[in-house]
Amino acid sequence: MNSFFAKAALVLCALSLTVNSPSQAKTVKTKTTSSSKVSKTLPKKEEQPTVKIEAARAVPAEELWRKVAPQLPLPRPFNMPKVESYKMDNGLEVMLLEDHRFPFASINLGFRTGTAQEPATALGVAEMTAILMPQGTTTRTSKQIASQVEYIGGALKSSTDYDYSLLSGSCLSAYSDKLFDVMCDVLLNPSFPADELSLRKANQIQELTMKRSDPDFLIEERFSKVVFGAHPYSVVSPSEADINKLTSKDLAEYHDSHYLPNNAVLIVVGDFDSAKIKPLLESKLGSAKWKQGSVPVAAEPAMPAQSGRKIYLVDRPGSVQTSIKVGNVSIKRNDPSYFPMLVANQILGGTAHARLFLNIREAKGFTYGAYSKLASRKEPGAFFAEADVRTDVTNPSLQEFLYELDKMRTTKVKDDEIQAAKNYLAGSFQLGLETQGGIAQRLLEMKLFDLPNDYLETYANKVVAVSVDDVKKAASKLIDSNNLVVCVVGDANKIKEDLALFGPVNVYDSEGRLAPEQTVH
Amino acid sequence: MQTNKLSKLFANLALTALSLTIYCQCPAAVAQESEVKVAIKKPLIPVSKDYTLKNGLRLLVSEDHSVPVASIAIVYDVGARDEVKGRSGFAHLFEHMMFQGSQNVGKVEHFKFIENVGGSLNASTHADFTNYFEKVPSNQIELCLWLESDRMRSLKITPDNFTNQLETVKEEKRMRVDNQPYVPSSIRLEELAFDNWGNGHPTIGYFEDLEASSIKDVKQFFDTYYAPNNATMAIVGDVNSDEMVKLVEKYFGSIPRVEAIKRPDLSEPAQTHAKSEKMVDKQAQMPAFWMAWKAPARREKDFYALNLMQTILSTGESSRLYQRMVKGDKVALKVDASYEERRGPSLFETFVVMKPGNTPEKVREVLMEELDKFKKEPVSAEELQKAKNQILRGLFSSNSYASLQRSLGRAEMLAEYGAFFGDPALIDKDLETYMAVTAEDIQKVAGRIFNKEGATTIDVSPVAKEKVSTSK
Repeated sequence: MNSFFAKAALVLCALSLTVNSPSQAKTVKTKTTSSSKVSKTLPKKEEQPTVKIEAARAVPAEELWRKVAPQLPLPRPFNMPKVESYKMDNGLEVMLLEDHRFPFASINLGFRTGTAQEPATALGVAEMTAILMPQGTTTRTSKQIASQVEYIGGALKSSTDYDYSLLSGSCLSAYSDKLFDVMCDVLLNPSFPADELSLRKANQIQELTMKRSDPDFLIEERFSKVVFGAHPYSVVSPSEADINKLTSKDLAEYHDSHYLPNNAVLIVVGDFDSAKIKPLLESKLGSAKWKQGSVPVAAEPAMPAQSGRKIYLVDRPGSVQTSIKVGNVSIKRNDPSYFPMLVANQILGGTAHARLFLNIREAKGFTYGAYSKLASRKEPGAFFAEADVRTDVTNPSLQEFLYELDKMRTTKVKDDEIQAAKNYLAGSFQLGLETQGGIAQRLLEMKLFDLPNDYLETYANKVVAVSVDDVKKAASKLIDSNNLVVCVVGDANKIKEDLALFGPVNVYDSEGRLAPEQTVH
Repeated sequence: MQTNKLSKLFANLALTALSLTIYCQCPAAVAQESEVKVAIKKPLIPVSKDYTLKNGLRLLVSEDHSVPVASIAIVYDVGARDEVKGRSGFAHLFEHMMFQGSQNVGKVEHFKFIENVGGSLNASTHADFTNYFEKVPSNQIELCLWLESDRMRSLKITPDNFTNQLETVKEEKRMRVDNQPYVPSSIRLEELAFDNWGNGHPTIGYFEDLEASSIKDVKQFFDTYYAPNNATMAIVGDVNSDEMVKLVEKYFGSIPRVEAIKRPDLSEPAQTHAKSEKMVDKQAQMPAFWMAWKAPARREKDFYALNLMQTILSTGESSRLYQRMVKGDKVALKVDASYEERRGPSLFETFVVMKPGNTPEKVREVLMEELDKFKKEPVSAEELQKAKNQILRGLFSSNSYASLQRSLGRAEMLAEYGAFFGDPALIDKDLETYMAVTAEDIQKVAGRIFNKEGATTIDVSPVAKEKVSTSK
């Protein structure tokens, strides 16, 4: 941890937003309801005094004017940043956004191909290519690349997701030219050194072993396998065998056919001079240096339809909590019902005053946080709700999830709920544009998911336009507690019999192997 | 936290620091690249108002009208180190109670009011302080003042809310600590390394202490620590300073101050004998170890050199430990060094997950060699400059904890410097001090800290595996 300031190793918060611990923040919320059929297991403390403790300091006067929240002026308009966009001869899209508030700049290259386009015979090739690119070029070793970037107050990140890959760098802006120079080398001349690949393969396999003790990984792996079936979104991590197969030649071939200018967008944000950078881009990344080509496109298999409610239980003996994740396939990122569904998700579980949180945490005390998420991708991603709960309330918690899902589907949301959800979405979108990184992220999202060019400007209006009926329609299409994937990670001996009340239970070990003798119907 | 003596100097004085913008050439940029200069505007965070109310609440405002966003941070001078034996974890449990409603704000409405305007909020409890914060569209800053003042003056404490939050905190402990590999051992490390219970007990607390606490404790804690003269507030963003003074007077002015707070003795004896323990971790898959040394408090003389050493050791892939242990000797899967800086006795911690086929003894020797290197050879000018530039990165990049790009990052930094050290101008001073650290300084500080007698070690091993027979 490198800090100007002090930081605790484990920062404890009221909400899991700014956590520093190995665990991942979960997001969900719920509303308090009285109709739950679950027994109230609120632990009681008998010896607790019911009132009256003498005040050690004076109680302030009542001050009646405090009763209501202050009336506030209208918001000041958020002036959307001015972005200069153009396309280079080789097809590379360029977006430039100057921001001189801080002596810092970032250069982001996004590619419209990710792991979903990997051939089934070479799982892991996209990720390994991304990881190995900064590990050596024809003229620089991995250590030279890292030292040169870090010397300029920089960092370089090369990564891949299901639908896209990113090569992003940032540094103190006085040194932007140096960063650009190193990034171009990493982009155009990676050498995929054999020794670096072999170390990375060994470490990735050992890291995979470590992940098999992480409940977040285990639940994500099982959930994706079931929800996405034969579609590549089902692969959360390549297997040991997949990793072992990869060769430097595979990576070089993948790089040459996917890291192409006509498959990419370049976004530069920060303290730089557009007039100076344009000729530099042309000389370093123009058609003379970076030729366009044809990007192979693989057909992606359909996703399975779920029928019935099934429980997929990953056994984690000794687990002190149960992780629950319920959901199904959702919609594409550019689907017309994206905004209604986004609002529906917000009401169900987007924040700390949404229904799931209010119910499962604030009313029941079962969990530290319960949230839902619309994870839309280029192809339909997932819609899910999740929480980590204490083991002895696994069933009551699941019951609450089903109750809240049904309610979203069958009942119209209230006017104040939808208003609150829309305010949150529109407001937080704008607040996210405060930093250079926040803007770059939104611009990348727009380009990599093929969203309209007025995405930033029209986002708030699209959110505001969503009606109560739109939410009902989207929720009834996407949420169905009867045809639902229920994934659970926990101590199977303690919870599997009870879980069978909700549907047939398949039990897996942490390696992902089905244990038929343990399956309960 | 220590008592905020300096802030008393400012009592009842409305100081308007001039927000002069001075451009200075950072002494950084030398070596390697020729003639590159990083231009840094100072002050890093221009203070447009520094005002202390009669009841002792200090307000720092920094105007920035570039985007219609404003952030507020309130630091209360209370943390886990103020807890008494038998009530560990209470500062944090109390922080949860602050979201359970007050005289005019219902349970959980704090979340609702802020999120309904698109804002974000949270609070965090540390060993040496607790902070509460919101980021909102700038027209909504008064809403934050209304909410924060209501809970500072009239927190609603009911048995039901308390029971509910007790369960929530226990779940937080299970999720973040008990159910995570290597986290229980990191907590054990601090217990063992510190000799003073006040420093060594975990902020999350022990289950038995949490369960033994009652709403009587909540009331007492509130009465003792949650008062205006134990708080420092910073507002940063698209606001008017004079208007902020008026509003803060309106909302907080009538909240009574409390008497001087008694603080525990947090002194730590120097360590003269190495300590070590072994632990089995049910959640871990790979053997690992922690190794720690007692370290200076924030802003003490050796603090800056030690922070630069942390950077040289483990920030980025070019760092020494990564290059030696992960890349070179290939004995580690993961290696990390962190400086757990506090306002009082602190720790410098290292953590290594070992690759199969290595013993902790052998890997520790490699680690010690790297630490000893600081004592034997001065770091090169280039390596030192790299570390300093990474400190600058921490200030100017978008997402770091201390990021000045975020109005909330600036508000937190102002509130912390105001609360801890009395003077926000020390932020600029600290940057200068970092930039002035020499290779010789590092050599001396390493000699004072990294010795065998002062080390505390925890070896962590996974449970031996018994394979359940399963089939595909």
